Amino acid sequence: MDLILTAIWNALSLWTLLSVAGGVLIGIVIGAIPGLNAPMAIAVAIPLTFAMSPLSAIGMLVGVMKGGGFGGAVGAILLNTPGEPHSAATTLDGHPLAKSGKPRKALQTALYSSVVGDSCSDLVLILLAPVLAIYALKAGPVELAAILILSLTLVASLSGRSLAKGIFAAALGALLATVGLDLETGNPRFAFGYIELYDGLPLAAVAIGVLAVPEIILRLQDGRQAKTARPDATSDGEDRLALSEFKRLGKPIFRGAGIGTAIGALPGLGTTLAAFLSYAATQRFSKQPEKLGTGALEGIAATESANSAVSGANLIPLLTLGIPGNLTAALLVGAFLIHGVTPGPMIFERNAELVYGLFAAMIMANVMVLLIGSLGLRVFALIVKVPPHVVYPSVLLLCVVGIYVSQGGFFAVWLMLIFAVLGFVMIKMEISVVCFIIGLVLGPMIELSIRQSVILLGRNPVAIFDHVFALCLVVATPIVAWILIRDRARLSDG
Amino acid sequence: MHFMKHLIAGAAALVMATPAFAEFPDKSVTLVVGFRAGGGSDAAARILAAEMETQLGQKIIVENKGGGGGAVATQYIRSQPADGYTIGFAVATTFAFTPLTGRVDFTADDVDFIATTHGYRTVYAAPKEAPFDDWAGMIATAKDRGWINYASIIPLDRAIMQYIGKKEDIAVNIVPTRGGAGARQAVLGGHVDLGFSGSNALPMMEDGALKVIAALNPEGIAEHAQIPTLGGLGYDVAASEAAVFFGPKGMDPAARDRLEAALAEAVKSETFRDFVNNKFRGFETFRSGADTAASIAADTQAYEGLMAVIAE
Repeated sequence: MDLILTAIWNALSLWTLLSVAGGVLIGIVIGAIPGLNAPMAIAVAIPLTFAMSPLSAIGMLVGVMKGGGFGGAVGAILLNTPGEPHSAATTLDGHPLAKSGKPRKALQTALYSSVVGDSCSDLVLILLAPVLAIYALKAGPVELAAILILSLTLVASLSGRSLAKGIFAAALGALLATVGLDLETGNPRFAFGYIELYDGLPLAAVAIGVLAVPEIILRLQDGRQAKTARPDATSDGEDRLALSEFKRLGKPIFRGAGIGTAIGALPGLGTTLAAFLSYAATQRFSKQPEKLGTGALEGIAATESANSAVSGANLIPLLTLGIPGNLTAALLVGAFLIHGVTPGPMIFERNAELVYGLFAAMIMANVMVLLIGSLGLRVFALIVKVPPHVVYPSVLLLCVVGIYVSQGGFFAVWLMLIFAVLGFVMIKMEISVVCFIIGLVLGPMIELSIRQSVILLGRNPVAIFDHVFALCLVVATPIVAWILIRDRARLSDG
Repeated sequence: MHFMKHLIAGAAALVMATPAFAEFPDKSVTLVVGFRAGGGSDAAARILAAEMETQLGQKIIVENKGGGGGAVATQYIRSQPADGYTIGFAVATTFAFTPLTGRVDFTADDVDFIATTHGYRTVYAAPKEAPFDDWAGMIATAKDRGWINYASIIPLDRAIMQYIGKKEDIAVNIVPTRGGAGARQAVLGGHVDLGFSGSNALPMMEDGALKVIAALNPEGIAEHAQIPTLGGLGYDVAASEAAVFFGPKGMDPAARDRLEAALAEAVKSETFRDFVNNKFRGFETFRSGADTAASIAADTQAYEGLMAVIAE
């Protein structure tokens, strides 16, 4: 206990505070720029930390990670440009609300939900990391496959009006996710000779292409038809989140925090699944499910609390097992390595001072995100007041530059433009772009875990009975699907 | 007219002669790292780039072009001018093994090597609750049960395990995993009997979280002499992995030599040596461009033999 207190006391130095604050600022700014995202922000910040003490360095990177999370929401809400696939979930309600003249309210909801979600999962990390890590390890390929299949059923409820079109979009996403080297044979699939495609389609390029670019073009078209297509931002009084409104968001926020923490602690599932699952759950339990997708605060709260909660919990497998849960965490492992910290089961003994310092830095970063984010709200919200013929071409330019820098040159930019055409067609045909993204992100995870399971059980099929938890989930899947379909039918009748 | 011709010829000669007069480098050099930002390979490249800056007196701009185990960066470097201002960072197997898979249209002969800066160590890791403690025990378990589950990361480790399966006449269920993290998760969770791993398995072994039963790199693990190498176990295979700096084919020799000399100094720096030995846990080794080419040619031959055995 003495050691922990000393570590926390040491962490509270002005220097650490400044590095964390600097990290948060870098994260928010880079995360908010269309085409860039939190992993990019970390990659940029790592060289900056070379000369720092390990604690300041890691504190700064944690700041970048958390700031980047909120920054991503800013881009998603104001400009419909998700930097990472999980922000696509935030665009669902965030962007409609911002368009209707309440950008600040949308951002405030995102900020507060994100900080609450993050703090909850940090708390779980600090209190339970070693215990949770042992349980998380028990989830092998068979369990992950079962979890993913059940999740896919749950998010199917996001398919919009037509279930068939939603399934089609998800299948198309999953099909495109097979691009790249085959896991087992190493043979290229649908790569057409492009080495750039061997590691799969660059996700951010596809997400921005499908979601943001068509939106930008449609906005510009609107702008030409009617000069006043964009509503003037309403007066400050209306564009503000009231305390009573925030209190009503308690359920979606804590549900999101729970889902995010659970998924973050299991390596290999990731932020996108958490964000969409939380959204789907909120839709299922909402009193006004029809409002979701039109700018409901619940929707923003659900996704932002869930994806922020993943980032804290993700550090559980990272610190205790050295297993990063997503790209951002993978970059942190690299940074740990540079600063001489080896993640592993003994980290709490070997690097105790640093680990508890890191915990203190995480809490500090949450406070900083809240402070800097609140100060930034006013500035960010001003973007909406810029005339569309200025803001949208600039955003398009930023998307091109951002994708060029972060995703590998002109090849990725061309891909983004090709997927923009696909996105445009999908919007016109009312096919859910979100289902497409989910298919694209979950496709490779499902493929990997199912193929691993088949290989593992191939010689020893009886071993399936060692996986009781997975079996239960598999049995539950059709039941859940049936309940969801029944609900849909009822909803459309009523 | 005559005068103009002379003038143009003179100007052209002057332009062409300039590189010979100006000391390389007279502007910034771009280093294209064949791995994504943040990993151990990228970290080493960035530390070396910082040391090279001091040596060369010019800025080194680090760019990451990950993908295909260094293949994407190699392809890119081949399209760049061979003036020494754009160079690449990949690993030995990018040139010695990847071309054998038939998936890329370059070979080791299509680039010029500048230097090898450090070596990687790779091992076979088993869960701590595995029913065996050493290699012989693993083989016995496999024969006894009829199969073992093995977590593979890259095509080379897969090929080597197929070779071992053939030699020992055991059935190896090769489970593909995504990256080092996926394989480690499978090993730590006890979902497989054995997995391929980089040197990050060493601290985990020292902590008692897993067992390391053999090393794939021919040099072995100096600080743990009890871990045998594949060669020591009687197999005629190894995974020789090392960090390689290279440039486009037909690089300006003066520039290439200058870069090689700068790297020879850079690897001596305390920061870099500390990183390689204590953080990355690879090993110190430096090879000139010519030696790198020779060692990659030898590796290629060895891997061709390996592939031939598997294909039998």
